[in-house]
Amino acid sequence: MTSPEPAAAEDRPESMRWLALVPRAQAGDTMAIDELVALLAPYVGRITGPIAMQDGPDAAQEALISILTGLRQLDNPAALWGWARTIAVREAIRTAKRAHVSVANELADLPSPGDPELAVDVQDVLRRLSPEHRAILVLRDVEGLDEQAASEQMAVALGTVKSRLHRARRHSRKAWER
Amino acid sequence: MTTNWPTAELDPLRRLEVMAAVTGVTMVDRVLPTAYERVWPVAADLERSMPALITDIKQARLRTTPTGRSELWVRTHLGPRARFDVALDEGWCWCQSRLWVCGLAAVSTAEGTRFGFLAGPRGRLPRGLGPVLGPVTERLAHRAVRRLEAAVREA
Repeated sequence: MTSPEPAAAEDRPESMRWLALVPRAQAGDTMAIDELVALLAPYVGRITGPIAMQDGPDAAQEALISILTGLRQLDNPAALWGWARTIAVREAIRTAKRAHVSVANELADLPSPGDPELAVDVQDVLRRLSPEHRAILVLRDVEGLDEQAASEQMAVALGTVKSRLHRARRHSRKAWER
Repeated sequence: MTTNWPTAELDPLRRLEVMAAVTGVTMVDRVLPTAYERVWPVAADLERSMPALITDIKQARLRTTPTGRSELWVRTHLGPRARFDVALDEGWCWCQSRLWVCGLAAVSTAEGTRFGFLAGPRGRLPRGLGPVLGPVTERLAHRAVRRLEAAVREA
């Protein structure tokens, strides 16, 4: 599976320096490892923050440890960001569940893209979602993934993502028509 | 309307914990009852702080290469010299020589400054040596943090 690159322009450093850092880090150059940590941290934090919420820094730390200790397994340095995203999402969900951040999924449906509710109080919306739902929301709205890519990333059926998003649009429209 | 998504920050102490996990070198940390503004300048003055933190080091000289990289040349009491590559930033320092790594980190807290330190061998150790060397480097790291605390008091 080829993971899509991050959509948000600010996530990717302007230079392609990171591409040269990967083989150096894989060879045990800790200066390169440190530089990769610094480059990846903001990107990983943008994923773990909304999913793990107050435990976002713990999740970011765990994700970066997992990314850097497993770096030797990365055959294609160009796949770094997609690979980092997969690990960041997984660690964020795991951390949120471990910390009992997970709620009883009060808000069963996801808000649609551009939903005013998201802009007004994203923290409240996130609090009312399960970690898995938060992850889909982040992949779609922060990472800009389409349904196919989000389902691959989350390892859930495409139909599941589609139905959640479909219900989300209906739910959101009804709520705002009241 | 834009959405202000929450983000997670990786402070220097967490960054050092990541580096400790990746390099396998034990990190120690301690809260010093002194303001960050007094602690970090002492720690970041590597020519003075390195011989204070690591007593094997007799002398340390920081140089900038023509390409803009920082290098720390150290001389030990026994004579050998070593060159460390250095990445120095606010609250953060990472050094690497051919055989050793060393990291310093500091963040401001309500009680003062949380200071983290690690120093140990670089690369994979021969089988069986890790469990032996781990407690030794940890003990030396605790001692180094106490020395830094003393250096801050004297500064």
